[in-house]
Amino acid sequence: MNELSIILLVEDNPDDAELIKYAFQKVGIRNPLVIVTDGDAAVDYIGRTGVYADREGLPLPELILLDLKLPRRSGFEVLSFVRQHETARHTPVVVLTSSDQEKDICRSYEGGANSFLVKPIGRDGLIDMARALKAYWINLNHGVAL
Amino acid sequence: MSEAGKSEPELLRQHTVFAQFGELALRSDNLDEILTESCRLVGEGLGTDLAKVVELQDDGKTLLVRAGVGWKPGVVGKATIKLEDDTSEGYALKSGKPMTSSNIETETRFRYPPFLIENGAKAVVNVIIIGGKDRPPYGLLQVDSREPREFTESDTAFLSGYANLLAATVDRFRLIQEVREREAGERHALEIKVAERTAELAASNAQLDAFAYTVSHDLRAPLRAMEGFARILLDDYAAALGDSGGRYAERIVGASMRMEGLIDALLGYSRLRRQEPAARLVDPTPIVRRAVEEVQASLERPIAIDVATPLPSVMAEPIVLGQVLVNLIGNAAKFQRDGVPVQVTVRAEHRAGRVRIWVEDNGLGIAPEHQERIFNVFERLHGDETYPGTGIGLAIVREGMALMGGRAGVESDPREGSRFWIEFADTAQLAMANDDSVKPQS
Repeated sequence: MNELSIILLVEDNPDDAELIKYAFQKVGIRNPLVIVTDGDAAVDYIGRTGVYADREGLPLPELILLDLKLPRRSGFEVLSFVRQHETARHTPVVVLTSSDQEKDICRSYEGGANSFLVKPIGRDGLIDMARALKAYWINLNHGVAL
Repeated sequence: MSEAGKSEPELLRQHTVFAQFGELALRSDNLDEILTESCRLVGEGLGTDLAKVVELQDDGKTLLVRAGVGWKPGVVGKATIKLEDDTSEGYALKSGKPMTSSNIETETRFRYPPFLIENGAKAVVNVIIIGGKDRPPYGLLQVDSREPREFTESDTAFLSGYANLLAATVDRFRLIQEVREREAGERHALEIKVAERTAELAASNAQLDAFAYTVSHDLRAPLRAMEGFARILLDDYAAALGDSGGRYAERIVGASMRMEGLIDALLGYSRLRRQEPAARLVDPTPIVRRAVEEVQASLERPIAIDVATPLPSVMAEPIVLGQVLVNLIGNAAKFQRDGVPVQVTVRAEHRAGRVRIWVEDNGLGIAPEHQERIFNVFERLHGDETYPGTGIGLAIVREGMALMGGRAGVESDPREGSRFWIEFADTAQLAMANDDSVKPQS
């Protein structure tokens, strides 16, 4: 990923979205962050449908941060859509949820998630997590060129 | 000739029939066998090979040939007789008196069913088989003859005697059958009840799981926001907040941390109910100390908590025991009496081979009628404004102790305070088994 690569954050809770944005700023992640607040919007953004239908020039995200419990389409459905999408199917998907339930973890990996993170309680935990995301997924990891 | 004009051989034959019936009725557990054999025996007693038992059906108007000997196929179990006034069967049932016809062909009083004539019956005698107490007659014992025959009073007396014995046997079978049906019904009802209870339990466990999931998922989200934004204020906007502003923001952080604690307690309880921790011999002293520290840290100012050390080793799982103790000591510290300095004591005693740890306070105490109730989930005695809590603390205590093979209870006098106790599984066997491993290696 380079500094212009888009990160898509699928998060319905505006507080969580705001805190993640804050943590990204704190640790110096400068990539454009697109925030969609439900599963349908995530599918529309990646599939160029709905409100994103005529946005031909819109680049696809190179990292997707995905909450599981979402209005309309669930995180699992979004994941399944991404993995079947012609171009986006190799895009790293990091599940970022408040659930630490075993069945959610299993279902996420079975659906093709690349990582499973539980939203930390506390600002410090969140900043640590953002720092690690930056170091690994943005700086170290190589994705398939879009 | 003797006894009502019977010949010696006839008398002997009839006595033998009674003896054989007695033996049969005791031996057999099959009513059809008894009935069929009875037909053969009474035929033998009266010197004929044609006899039957007809059973009065529930409609009260039909007789079914239930058993018989000497009949062509299609009669036994199938042929029926409609009870009407002009049948000898109807008359016998109604009057309860034996009815005889010496020659069916010349009989003018009664009509006879066609199968009787088709089977070559020429003469017939009917005696009633009475029912049990307060019950309609069972039916009739009928002996037929292939030749016209004058049945004597002695014949009907023999037959009536036999029919009465048969009636007693038939009634015994009916009673047994009734008891069996009632037992089967009760067993069935019990099985249904057990299945219902099992389903209810599974449903309540599933509800608890769903509840725990919702709690972990949905209650934590606003908590993250409270804590997160308050800390951002403290870190990045300290100057703008000023001293009091900063203190208030710290209060928000503190409150969200407490709420996190409550959520953890709830999840802990629901997990407790699903798992089975392996209890082992542990020294409870450091666990008690940690619990005391945790409780003290949660209070605005420290209180007097005495731990009477050393505490004997107990059968426990350290994390579960920690949860249990934090809840007990926390309760002791919480439910204070106004104007009385709090004093909490933790001590242990041996009780019939088991270790009991007491957590005693001088607080509010619990009225006897509430002492059992308080161990239930979500059971609370006080409003949230006076004594905040989740209502699951003591449920964790009881559930946790049960999981470790122990139990929990309380003794309380509302004037003096409460004495909660937890009792652990017997350590004697394990202590002996572990002795070797405790010895220093040479």
